[in-house]
Amino acid sequence: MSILSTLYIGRNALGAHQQAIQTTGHNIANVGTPGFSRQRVELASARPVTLGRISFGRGVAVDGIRRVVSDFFETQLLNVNSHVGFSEAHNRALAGVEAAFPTSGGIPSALDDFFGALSDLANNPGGQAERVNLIGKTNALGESLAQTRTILSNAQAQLDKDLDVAVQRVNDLLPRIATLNQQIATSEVGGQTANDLRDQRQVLLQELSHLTGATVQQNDDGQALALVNGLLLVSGDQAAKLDDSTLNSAGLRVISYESPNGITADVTTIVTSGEIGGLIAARDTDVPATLGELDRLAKTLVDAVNAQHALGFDLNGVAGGNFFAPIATVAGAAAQVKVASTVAADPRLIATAQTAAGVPGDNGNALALANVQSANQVALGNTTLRHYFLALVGEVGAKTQASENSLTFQQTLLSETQARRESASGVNLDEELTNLVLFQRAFQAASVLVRTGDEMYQTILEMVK
Amino acid sequence: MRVTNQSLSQQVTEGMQLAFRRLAKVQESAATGKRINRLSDDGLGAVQALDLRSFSTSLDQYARNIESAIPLLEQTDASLTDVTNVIDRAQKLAVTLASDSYSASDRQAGTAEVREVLQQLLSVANTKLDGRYIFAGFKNDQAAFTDTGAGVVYNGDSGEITTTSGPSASVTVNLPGNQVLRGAGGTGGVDLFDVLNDLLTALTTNDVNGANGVQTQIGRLDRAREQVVEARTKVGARINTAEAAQESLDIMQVRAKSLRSQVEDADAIQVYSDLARQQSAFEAALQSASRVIQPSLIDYLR
Repeated sequence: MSILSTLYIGRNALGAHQQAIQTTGHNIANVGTPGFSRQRVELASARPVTLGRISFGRGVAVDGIRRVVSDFFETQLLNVNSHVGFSEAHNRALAGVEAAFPTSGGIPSALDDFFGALSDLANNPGGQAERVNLIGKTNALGESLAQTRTILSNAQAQLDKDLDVAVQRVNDLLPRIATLNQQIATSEVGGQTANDLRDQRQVLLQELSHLTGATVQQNDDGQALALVNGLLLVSGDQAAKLDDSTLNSAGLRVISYESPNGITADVTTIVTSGEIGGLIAARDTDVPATLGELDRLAKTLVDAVNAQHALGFDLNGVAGGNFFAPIATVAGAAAQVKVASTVAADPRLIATAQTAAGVPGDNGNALALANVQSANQVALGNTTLRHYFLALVGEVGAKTQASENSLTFQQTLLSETQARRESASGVNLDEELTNLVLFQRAFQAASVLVRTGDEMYQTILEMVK
Repeated sequence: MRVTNQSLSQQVTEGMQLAFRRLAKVQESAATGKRINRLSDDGLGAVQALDLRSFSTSLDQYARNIESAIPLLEQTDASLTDVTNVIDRAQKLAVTLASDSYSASDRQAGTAEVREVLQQLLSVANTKLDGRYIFAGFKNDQAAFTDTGAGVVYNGDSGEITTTSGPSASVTVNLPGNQVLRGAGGTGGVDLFDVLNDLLTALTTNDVNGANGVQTQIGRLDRAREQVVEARTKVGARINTAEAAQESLDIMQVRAKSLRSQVEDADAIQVYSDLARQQSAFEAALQSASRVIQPSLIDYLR
């Protein structure tokens, strides 16, 4: 019996170390797998057997295979991922807005040229060339404004498309997480942990958090619950759905949520973190603000110039009509700045004189028109056209700068958190190789034990021949 | 802290990325010569640079305005010199013909020359520059004065044309003909055309010492000359102001450009030394990366 137990010990050792080698191999194979948590075979000495006063050890037993993971780091990582998702999307969007405003030329230059052309006209109010030049510079200003507006609204449309891609990605993730929940529940029925399934689920949850800022709660039965601002995304094997096929009055997507039991709601203002939150913030707050300011500038320019123009007299001694084609509302104004068709057809209608009798040498109204450049406009909060635009540009620059700083900070934080997670759960090849050597030697030694046991049996059998 | 293969390679990658990004940023400044290449490089600085650029453009405009004003003012001055010559010629004639050694028929013969003087005055009064009659006030697309045969008529008005010479400064660029040549818009002004016509009448009627005689006209010509001198002084002052404004605009322009350069241009020396530094930082990152990710226990087992 004692030889048998030696053989048993040898056999169990062979088995245990074989499992250890296999687990080590699993770790080595997954050294580059993102989100992988290294696994350790829990070796414990088997329960000893007591005979009289002597306790006999019975070798090694495998207690289980444990996944080395820190829930604290995993939760931290989810949190940071959500912020990074937001910052990346938001910063990318703001960079698109910034691209509409070059650091030289652009709208300020076009405005200066427009008012310069008015000044030149004031120096020769009877001249035809100066009038034609003014019309040219006016059209250039209109084009500059319209082009900038187009870049901004294209940026908004692109954000809308990016939003759709993100929503589709979420809809792809949610059922997969729910399926994994189910699979984990099934595999863990016998009491062992489904290590690799949990790793896979964690990877999906990280991506979900990156996209939506979702928080995760673990049940006692190992099920993961994913929520966004109180909205249930995944619960057990039930997954919700996001739908973005409806458009709002501006032609942009509305995000609706459908719970697993079919209840729907508009959640466009509720998902405020993660990539989707960042895209919505840029699409619905930042870009419209800049568009609105640009439109207000355009409308105020047109109104102020037209008002002054009406006070003057043209080369025919007739009171000035509209210089710009009038614009009805602020919304979309920046795309509608152009010379009135009557003036474009007949430049003599530009009202340069202050009195009808003073035509053609009277340049009083032309001077007044040029002075609109430095007049404080009530519609812009009592500031000049140029200063209003510079404030707009300054705001864009400051917001973009701030979002870049935020992104850098979040990315650094992500790096550090990932490093900490890796330090707990990651695979170090040198460590695994060392273990491999250890387990291999143990396996070899155990096989020697089995051979020794066998030789002991031979010896006894020969003894009684 | 335990370090794993993934975290090490992550760290190495991030290090190289960072060095590369910094290198790219410095290279951009070196290539464009500007510290600010987009608004987010320096939000406040970008706005300052745009503002200064606009300011420079407005200074250029003021300079252009003054450049268009000065020729007009100088021509006015030159024409007024011609008017003074006309007055001198008329006065010499009048003085000569008023002397007792001349007879009524001499005086009658002298009217021909006076008529010539009148025509000369009319011609000067209708001086044109760049297609505009400089003495016609606002109505400068037609002759300022016309001789109807029954007298000289002023077709212009009292309009004063101004141009902007600075942020809150303007220059009047013309002199309405009715003021300087007809004495309008002031007290005690003399109508020069009137005087010459009266001189003609006085010579024709041989009236030397009467109320409207030649002597009276000589006195009025003196007054006319003073009137023209006053006008020339006014114009001269305007020219001086305009030229002074030009100089001060030049100085302001230099300062504006220098300020803008300080804000948005990259310091060449700084940039090139940064470039060298970032380049070697990048190379160091690459070298250390290769040293760190290669060795493994595998190289040493058996």
